[in-house]
Amino acid sequence: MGVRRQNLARLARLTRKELRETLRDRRTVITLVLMPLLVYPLLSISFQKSLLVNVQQTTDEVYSVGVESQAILGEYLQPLLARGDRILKAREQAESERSSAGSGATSPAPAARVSFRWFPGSPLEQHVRNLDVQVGVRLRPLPTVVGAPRGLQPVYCELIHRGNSPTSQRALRFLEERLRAVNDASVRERLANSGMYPGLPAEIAYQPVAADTTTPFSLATLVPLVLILMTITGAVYPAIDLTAGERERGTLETLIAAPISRMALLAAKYAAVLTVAVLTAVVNLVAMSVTILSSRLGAELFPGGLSLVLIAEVFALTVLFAAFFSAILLALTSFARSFKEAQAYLIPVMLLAIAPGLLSLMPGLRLNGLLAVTPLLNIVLLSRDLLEGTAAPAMMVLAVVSTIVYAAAAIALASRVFGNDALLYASRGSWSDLFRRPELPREAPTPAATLFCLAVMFPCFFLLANVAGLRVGSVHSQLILNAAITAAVFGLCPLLFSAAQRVRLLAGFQLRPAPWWAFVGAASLGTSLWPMAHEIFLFGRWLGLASLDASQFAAVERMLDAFRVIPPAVVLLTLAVVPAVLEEFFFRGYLFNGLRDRFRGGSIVVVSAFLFGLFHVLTPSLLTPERFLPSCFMGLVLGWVCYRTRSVLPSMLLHAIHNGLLLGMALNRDRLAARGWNLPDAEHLPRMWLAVAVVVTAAAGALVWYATRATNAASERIRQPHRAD
Amino acid sequence: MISVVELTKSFHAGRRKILAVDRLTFHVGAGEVYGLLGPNGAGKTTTLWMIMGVLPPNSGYAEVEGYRSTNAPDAIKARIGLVSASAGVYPWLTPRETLLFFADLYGVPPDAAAESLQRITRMLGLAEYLDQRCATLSTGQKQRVNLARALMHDPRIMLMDEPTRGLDVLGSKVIFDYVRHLRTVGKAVIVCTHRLDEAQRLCDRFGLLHHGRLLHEGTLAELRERTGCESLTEMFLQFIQDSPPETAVST
Repeated sequence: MGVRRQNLARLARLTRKELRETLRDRRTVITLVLMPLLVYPLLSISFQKSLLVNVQQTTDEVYSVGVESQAILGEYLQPLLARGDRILKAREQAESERSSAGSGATSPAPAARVSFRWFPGSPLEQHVRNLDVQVGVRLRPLPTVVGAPRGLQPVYCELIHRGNSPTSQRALRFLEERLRAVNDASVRERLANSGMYPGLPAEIAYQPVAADTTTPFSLATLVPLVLILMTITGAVYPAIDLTAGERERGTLETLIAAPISRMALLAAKYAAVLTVAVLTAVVNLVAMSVTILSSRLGAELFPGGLSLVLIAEVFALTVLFAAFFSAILLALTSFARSFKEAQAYLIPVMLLAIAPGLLSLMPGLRLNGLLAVTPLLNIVLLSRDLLEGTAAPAMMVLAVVSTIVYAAAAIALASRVFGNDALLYASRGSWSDLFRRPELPREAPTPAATLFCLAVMFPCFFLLANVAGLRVGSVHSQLILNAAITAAVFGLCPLLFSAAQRVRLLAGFQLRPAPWWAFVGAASLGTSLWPMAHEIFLFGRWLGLASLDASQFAAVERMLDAFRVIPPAVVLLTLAVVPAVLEEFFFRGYLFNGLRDRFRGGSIVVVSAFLFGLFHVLTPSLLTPERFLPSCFMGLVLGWVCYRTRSVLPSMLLHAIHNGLLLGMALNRDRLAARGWNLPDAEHLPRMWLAVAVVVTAAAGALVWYATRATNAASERIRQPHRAD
Repeated sequence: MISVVELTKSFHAGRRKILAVDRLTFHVGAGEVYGLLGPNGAGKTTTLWMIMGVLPPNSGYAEVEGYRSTNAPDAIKARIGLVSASAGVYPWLTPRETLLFFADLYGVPPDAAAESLQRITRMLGLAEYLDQRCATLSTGQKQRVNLARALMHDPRIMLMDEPTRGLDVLGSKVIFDYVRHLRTVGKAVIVCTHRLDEAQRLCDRFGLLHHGRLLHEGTLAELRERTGCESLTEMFLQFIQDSPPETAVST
């Protein structure tokens, strides 16, 4: 505990030094304070202007129309337009009455006016082209119709307009609508007067409706983009300065010559970059809020106005964004030898980062299992959904957890790269030496490689599970596909990583022999743990860790029914044995061994159990928090067995028996019930059962401990002081 | 104090594998200044990094006070002070902040660090600019800050990589005085340099390195006797003429 506190205090001091150095630089201060103070008022002014222009365009637009003479205007065009106006207004009123009786009031149509100009003796086309008027109307009186009222004598109207001008097109539509209305009314009137049926084959009426969810304009869709820009702006400079800057200043060599791990150095740098990024975001947020409140744009931009809750939500998202970006930027800038090189690396990343921000504007794109583990896009979509109040908790947890995993992997990569460039540059080496497969085999994977493997497995698991979710073929083939996916994710991924690092297969995955009695103990634990796991499951539900509803339980029942018609050996192999063996292969084999450099004893068991529990909670389509506690419990026991035996084989046996037993009971529930063994999901088990389970577990645990006591004592004696990265 | 035994390191240049350090063996005792001499690319810096445990050797080993560099790099780093010509300073920190930061990195308790700071400030004459930002210091002042940094944790071993590179006469004199001081207080020192004239003034024993191989080793008197040459420069030229070319190991 004392050592841990000392390490944390040291980390705090390192971070303070990095921050002191960064914040004394004027360039950081300018980015941090001055930029937001200038940018938001300017944005606000331009936004207000744009808002005013929009409003003016829709309410007070004046169309300029040119004719050849004032006389022809007064005699023909003005009466036609006036009559068309009256007809349209009457029609609008009728539609308005209809809709107010039905679904609610509609907004009134915007008013518009027409100003006329006449150009005797010069071609109208030229005036339209020269932007003197928006539309020209060339009128040619047609032969007089007897009986037609004054002002409605037939006239040939030629409308001259600019095809590529929106204002000219609006003016054209304005005239067109009125002239068509007059023609239409005239046809109906004539039909009526002639005694013919006045109706038309297809009567058309227009009923505009508002979209279901949209508000006039919501800045919520733009917030992710703003967040990306805010956090990147804050994090870029310190990230470059604290990595490539060290190289350029010549301070890197002295840092890596110090007896401190690269991970600790990077952790301090990460904390400093994150702090500056969050500080920048806070200053941005304050400047943005003050600007919005003082300009009274809150209600225009956000559906519910700018509230404290909204600000808190945006802040929380900013921390998440900053945590992700700071790690990515540090990883990238660690590759750079100079400021210039670092900037060259970051420009494409910034452009790439903006793309998901723009994607969040797409209304049809929803956060699902696969997108929730897609780096960056997941937090962008999550922030949009959160601000719109439509975020699903499962997807939220998935997006946050995967983002943390990616950030950790990026830091691990940075710690692998950071400083090595200086060594290689000074020693005739090159980057290929850093990533070259080692010549000598290793006994265990490095922590960085383990984290990286985990970060790769995470999206792979979701991608492949989504493929499996397509439900192609029979249940039989579906089961085999699931087993293949488990093998690919938990078997192939770590195997590839260990091959790249030349990790010995048997030692790296702890595939060592174990004492015979340890297998007996592990097998006994496999049979005795399920009642306790069941009680822990119920305890979790009592705590509120529950997400499955009745329909999902019914789906599980249907799935079990489908399994009952398949040979039991296939079901047991694909659902119990393969997952057990391969999950142990990764969690207690590769991961457990990879954590040995960073953690000791019990901590390895706890960390691996936590990750094991987390993997069981996160599924591609839904979150199953009720599985977290029992899976962690199982992870703790499996980890302890592996730690004691220094082998993954007893854990595989334990896991397979536990899985097989649970599956067997679920598939044969009716038969067991017929013999008086009721196993209801939602009830506590009889106390006698639990007592027996506890006694057997204790005895089996003691057996494992006894069988391994000599091995553990010997291994403690020969433990190496510390392995270098 | 320092034992280097059959130390070997190779790098890849395209498809070729080049031996940067080839079965290097030498020992340095307490109070001894050992000159690891050779032209650029001889493998001097690579050797230093391997002694410190930051670069793993392909074969052989380096031991510092009984700790092997591959097994206990942190224990070794804690016992070593590094002075390098390419080392810079943090422009926005003061020398005081820089020195206390490095003391912290080496795990020196705050009280001991403050004491160390006082002692080194007196020794190297830093008092005048101890609280001035490093960005405003002259090259010579920055170099003194770097010398001070390497001493903050009172290491028993000092590794110096081209310590006089880029320095004028006065700057070089500071280095000479510094090395003499290290010798008198019983530290084991390795000085890597290609300035053979300077090495002749500074070091007690010499190892002449070329293409990663140790061509010869001994005191100045021993080398003179063996070669018949008066200066290190003449000896070195004679050795190079007789030595085989750089070893490239095919892949």
